[in-house]
Amino acid sequence: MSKTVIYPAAAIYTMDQSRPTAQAVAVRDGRFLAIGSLDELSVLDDYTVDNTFATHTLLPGFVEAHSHSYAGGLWMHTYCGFFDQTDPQGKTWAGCKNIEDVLNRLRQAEAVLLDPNEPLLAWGVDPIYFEGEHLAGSHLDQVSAHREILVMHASLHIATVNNALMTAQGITPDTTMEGVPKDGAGWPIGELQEPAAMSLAGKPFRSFWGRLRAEHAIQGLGQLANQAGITTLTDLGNPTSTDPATIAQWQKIVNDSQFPARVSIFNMGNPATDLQAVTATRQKSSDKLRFGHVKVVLDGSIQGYTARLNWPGYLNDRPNGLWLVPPEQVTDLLRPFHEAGLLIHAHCNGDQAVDVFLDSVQELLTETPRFDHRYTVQHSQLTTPAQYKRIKSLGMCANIFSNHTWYWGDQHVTSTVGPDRAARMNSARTALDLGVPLSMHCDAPVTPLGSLHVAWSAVNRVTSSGQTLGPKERITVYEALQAITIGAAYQLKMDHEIGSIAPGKFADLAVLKADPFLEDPMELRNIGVWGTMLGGKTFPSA
Amino acid sequence: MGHHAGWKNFPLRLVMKQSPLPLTVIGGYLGAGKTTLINRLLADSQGERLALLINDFGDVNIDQSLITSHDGDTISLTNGCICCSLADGFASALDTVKENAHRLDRVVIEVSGVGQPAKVALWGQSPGFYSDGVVVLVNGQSIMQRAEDPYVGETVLAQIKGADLLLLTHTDLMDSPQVEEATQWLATKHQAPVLESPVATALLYGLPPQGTDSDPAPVDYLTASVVLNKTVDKSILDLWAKTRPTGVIRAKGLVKISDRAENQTDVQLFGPNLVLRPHPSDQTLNTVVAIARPGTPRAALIKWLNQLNPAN
Ligand SMILES: Nc1nc2c(ncn2[C@@H]2O[C@H](COP(=O)(O)OP(=O)(O)OP(=O)(O)O)[C@@H](O)[C@H]2O)c(=O)[nH]1
Ligand SMILES: [Mg+2]
Ligand SMILES: [Zn+2]
Repeated sequence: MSKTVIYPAAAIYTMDQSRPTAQAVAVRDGRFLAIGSLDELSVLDDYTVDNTFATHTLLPGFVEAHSHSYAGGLWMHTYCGFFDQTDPQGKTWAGCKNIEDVLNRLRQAEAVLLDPNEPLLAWGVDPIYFEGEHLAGSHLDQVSAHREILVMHASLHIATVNNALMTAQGITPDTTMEGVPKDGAGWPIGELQEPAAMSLAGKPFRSFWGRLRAEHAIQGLGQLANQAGITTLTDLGNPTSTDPATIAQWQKIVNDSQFPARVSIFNMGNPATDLQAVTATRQKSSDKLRFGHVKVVLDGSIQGYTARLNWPGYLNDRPNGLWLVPPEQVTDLLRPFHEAGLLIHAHCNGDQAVDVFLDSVQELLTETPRFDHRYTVQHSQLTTPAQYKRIKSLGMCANIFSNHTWYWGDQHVTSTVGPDRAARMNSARTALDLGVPLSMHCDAPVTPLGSLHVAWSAVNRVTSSGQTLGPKERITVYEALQAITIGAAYQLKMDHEIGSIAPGKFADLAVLKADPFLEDPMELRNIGVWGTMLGGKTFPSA
Repeated sequence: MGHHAGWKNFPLRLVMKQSPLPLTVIGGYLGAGKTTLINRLLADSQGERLALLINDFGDVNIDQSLITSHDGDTISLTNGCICCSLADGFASALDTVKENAHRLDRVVIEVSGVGQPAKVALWGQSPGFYSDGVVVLVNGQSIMQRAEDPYVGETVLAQIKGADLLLLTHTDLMDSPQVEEATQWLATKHQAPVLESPVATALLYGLPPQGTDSDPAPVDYLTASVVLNKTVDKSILDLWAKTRPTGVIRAKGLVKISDRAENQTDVQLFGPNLVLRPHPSDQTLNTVVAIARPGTPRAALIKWLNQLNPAN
């Protein structure tokens, strides 16, 4: 038994209705021992007082119920995205607003690479913001004529490479691969579209992805979480989660007391063959690391025009999106997992994908009723009120991609679905009003890991250009903070352990430098994060 | 017409040790019969060693069980699978195949029932491989209804449009007017040849298994060849490819093309797609051979081949 430590704070919001606020928390053995006023806590035996949080605001540690482990690994490459973003070491990288910014960023990165043979790898470039300017290989030649350079675009569907890389990897006028555009004289311009063409970039392409699986990448993920006040992460969809090497890697990293977050790893694979293996991985779980849940992906993304939409589909009769699983097979695919009682989350960006998932869950529940299954619609971006009513009546949950409003809201208005359906996107208000258990996520690295930004997006529904999409779909600060704490914990089947500040729960805290209920709601995303507490151990961020 | 080169013994892949591996893509909607076809290919492989990749649920798996059951050619491959957002899955699966290329003659990919085979076939243009055609299977009993399905109609039509060869399956359960109706319907969607399953393996593959020297063509199919008496212009080749008579399933050859550096270019015409690749050997053949469905007028086939020998 460790000693009791009492942490007074400027404000504490527990997300537990029985005791919504407190002056201090008492922690012992990694859990909350007591919560209350200083007076109430002073009757405890043998405690010390730690004033580290005296001027800070405490919330339950944030829970990110839809993130991907490679969000940390991308920072092993040079960041060239449009928005300012903070790396795992806590350094904020200014957004690259034009091609010259991108080249300057690359020049700086190039200057510090010692090994002349090491390729320069970069990520996050989004030419959609460059007003018609096209990033070509010749731009990158200005950075280096000798070093191979590969710049992955934010969509991950296009890479730009320099001449040195093309020469080294044999991308020439003779290259016949589709997705390798050429100039008037027949020379490849250095753009590689879609994975098959990108793979022509040879070793640099393989290193780009390979590094994302390194231990260092997962460590980076933990640091990013720590900076964001997140104490529980997900790797939502790991195709090798039943592989002993993957399990051992995660155990080594996450179970180490220095790693600042809990992680729930969802398996993504073939239910028909993976059931036993997935069930077996549950034995490998610990307080910090969870295995045994399942993710399936039904469709693509709305900004990539690959999500499956009900009529009228995309604007201007653009073709509808892609299925990743045949709709008529979804029920059969899920059945073994359903019958074994596993937790299943399904990626459904478009409303047609939601229909397919709801039909399947209804069919399975009719065949084999289950209590407390917590089937969750992931992303749920275009879900209609009628669908939310079905979600509710089927006992399901929704994890909404609220960050979309800020990052792509303007594009949704003008290009993907138009102003009417853009106003309906990520409608947290409707979900809550209908009693649907709600969480919200960032889908890092699709948008940066950051729960306060996610909450801010749902509270304000403001786009990058400043318009408010569907103002009636906004939710309150309190509701948003619930969604990123206890709401997310519920969907991970961890709400009895985390997600609120209550006696007996793990002592996981988000430590904020300002009180979110006193700030202007438009400032929510700018609130400083001191760091976290995880299982009673403090983790100040860098 | 000069001498008659047979279809199956046409010596394109001569002796080069690490010549590129042909990559055949088999697609088609759920239950169309892809695995059934592949099992038949394995049974009928005549010593050709296949690597089989299965692309399913956003993953690429190298199917151990199928490869193992095809004795002697077991390849112990680590599972090359990906999350839909990790784009290197196919690349690493093909890297693994490439490491084993000396023990392989062909790669066959079974695409998921909602996947787009034409997109998958792009991987056949990776170094070390060449695309040997996209075969899309179509369940004749259900296709016309499926094409109207609000969920998967577009997916199925896009698959069909990406085919080099359409293979109608489940025709044993249909009467001949139904087969005819389905065939004609397909012809309105895409110009690739339509064959009724089952068909001879040789029709699906562009190239003969190495070392076999069996009969020149599967029964009933028509073959013809032409020996070119000089270098051919690319523009003539393009026009020739576009004017393929209905019924021609594929054509292949080694020719000398003006303004290309290599002495001989490997020409492959599979469905509407003309693929040209430098041929590594010293051999000069200057021959093109074509194969067509039963019933195709021989004169039309020969006339078409002779376009490659324009009068001066
Ligand atoms: N009668 C008949 N049955 C066929 C034919 N081709 C395939 N089948 C049957 O149809 C079913 C599905 O065939 P598969 O070969 O597994 O189809 P698939 O395209 O691989 O299916 P998925 O991989 O699930 O998309 C099996 O029961 C086959 O035996 C055919 O030409 N006629
Ligand atoms: Mg199959
Ligand atoms: Zn995701």
